Amino acid sequence: MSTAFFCVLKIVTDISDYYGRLCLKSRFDSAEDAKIQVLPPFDKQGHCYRCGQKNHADLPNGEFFCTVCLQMGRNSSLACFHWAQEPAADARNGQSWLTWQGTLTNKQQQVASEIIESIDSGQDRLVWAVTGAGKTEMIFPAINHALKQGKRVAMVSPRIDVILELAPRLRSAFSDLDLLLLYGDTPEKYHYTKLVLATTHQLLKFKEAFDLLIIDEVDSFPFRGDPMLAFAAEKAKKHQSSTVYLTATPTAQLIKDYRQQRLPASFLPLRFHGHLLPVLTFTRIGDWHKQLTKGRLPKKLVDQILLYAGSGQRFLLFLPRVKDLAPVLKAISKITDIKGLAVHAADPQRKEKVQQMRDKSVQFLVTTTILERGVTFPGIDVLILGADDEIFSTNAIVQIAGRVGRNNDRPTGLVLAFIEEQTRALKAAAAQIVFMNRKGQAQRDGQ
Amino acid sequence: MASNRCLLCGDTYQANSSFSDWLFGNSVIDPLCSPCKNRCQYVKGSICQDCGRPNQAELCTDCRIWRTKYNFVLTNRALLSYDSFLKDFMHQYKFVGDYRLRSAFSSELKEKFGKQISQSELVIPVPVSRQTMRDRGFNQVTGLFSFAEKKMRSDILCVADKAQTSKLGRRDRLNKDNLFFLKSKDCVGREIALLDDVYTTGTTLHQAAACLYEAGAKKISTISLAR
Repeated sequence: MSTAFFCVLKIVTDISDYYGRLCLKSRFDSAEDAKIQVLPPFDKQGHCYRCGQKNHADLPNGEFFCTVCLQMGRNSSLACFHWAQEPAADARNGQSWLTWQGTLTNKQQQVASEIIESIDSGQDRLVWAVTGAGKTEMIFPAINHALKQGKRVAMVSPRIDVILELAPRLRSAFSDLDLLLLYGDTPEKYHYTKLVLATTHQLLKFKEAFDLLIIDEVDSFPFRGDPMLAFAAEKAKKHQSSTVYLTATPTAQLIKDYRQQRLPASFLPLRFHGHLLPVLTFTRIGDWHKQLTKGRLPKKLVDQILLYAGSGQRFLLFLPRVKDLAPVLKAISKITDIKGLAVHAADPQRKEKVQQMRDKSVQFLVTTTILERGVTFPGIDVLILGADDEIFSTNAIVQIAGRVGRNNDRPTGLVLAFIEEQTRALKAAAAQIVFMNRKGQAQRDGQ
Repeated sequence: MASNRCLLCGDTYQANSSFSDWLFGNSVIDPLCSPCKNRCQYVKGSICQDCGRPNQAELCTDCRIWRTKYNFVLTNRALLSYDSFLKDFMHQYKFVGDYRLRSAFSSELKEKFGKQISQSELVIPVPVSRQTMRDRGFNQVTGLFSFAEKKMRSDILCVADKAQTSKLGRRDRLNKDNLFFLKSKDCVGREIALLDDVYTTGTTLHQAAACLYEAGAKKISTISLAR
């Protein structure tokens, strides 16, 4: 309440609003403070100064604007950016900000120390942790270490749901620290904080701001393969800084960088409960699309579902396309009367349906890759119909398989892919799971 | 068939352009996908005879007041009804400033008002202030009616800088002083088509028309994208 009141009163521009931040202004606006630098809207080659892309649309009178980062506020030849250099880190007597009371496992502690080493040596690091390993807690000591030295930290993710889930956890772990949460429709007004939690898109608005950048779920849409967001992440950090990539499924590029020893990596191959990942199993079926047009499902899938109908085992059934959801759900209803729902990305009732699955008021969900990550239903099995479809990337398959065995009570389970043929993506996914399990086994044997 | 991205919803869609369009450079890329375009409501059926408000059997209450306030009657006709879709559209076009959206209703506007515009002696777009031109970089009205570009005269009617009307509340807008002024007397004795983007309260168009009538315009009818 008191902070909100204070924000209303704060009308005069605060120079700290400009620290490391590209503020979009009209080119006729003059800088209000000597520390502010006026930066051009486009570089000499015509790349947008904010997003680094070169895609213009015309305005009258020879003016133009950048079409790529339009939703962040239009950058045009009529604009400019006001920016001030981030002040040098001032160590606040080395005081700890961490109020989190939990403890890390030995392995988590080791990874935390490795991240801290990277921060101190100004290196990047890949943290390759299996789904359900407890990545978030492990990053707390690293954030605290950077904050102690007066450094500025950003924790970002391409996925807004990841950010929204992280916010309360970070706020309670650093309860005395002002933390800013930034995303598209963010209700918070920007103000300077040492810790920023944001979507990767928000990095576009920063320049040389962060000493430590932590990117969670670095391989997920839309960060993956988006040159604009890669540019944004690069630009948002200081010249001397560290990036920590957190993921269960690194991109091919990150794996390559690790293998060629350009990028040090830390592994967390075991889940928090100490069990290995469930392996991917395959079974061959015929042309299931053709069967589906006749309202039928492949025999093997029918058998599996009838098994679940008998046992009451809960499951997710993944399909490649939204348009297949309704016909499959209908076909299931013809063979059994167990309750299930179909969920897809644009489903207005997505939240409610997922909640119904959580509440166990339905036994299964039929869904698309939208539920590949970020959701946890204890004790489920996973079926993937048409896993050989091109829409299922290696990462998607590993993530989908990672939905299984998330809790202590049932740390294993079935991941069954129904395919017409093997694909490279499937083989790579199976190999990745085996690779992590081998590391996990070695770790278990060592302890 | 080319794949485009809708400038409003961001979905990709197939453009209906033929090979010959492409060959002869006739293809105008539609900035909106058809699901978005299907959301807009075209004005048809009974309308208010003055402002063109749809679903109105007789003169609407607003226009009754306008008739008492001014000694002229404005006849406004609109292509679309100003609903939540059009609000989104205008936000993206005017305030985000995506100038590519200007052609979204170009052919429909031309079809409905092309004849009226070409028969008018003078076509005047409602102007934007110097400040707006500086920030936005375009006049949203001339953009929408760019098919009549050659006929449009932007050098007659001007508007002074003041707080943007769209940021004012309804009461403030109804009471604000007339900010329009003329730079040329070319409107004297002419029949004029006055163009605007959205007729909301009617204040803008009444003030602009009053300014032109005072200077000696013969007859003014107004056209807006939406009502």
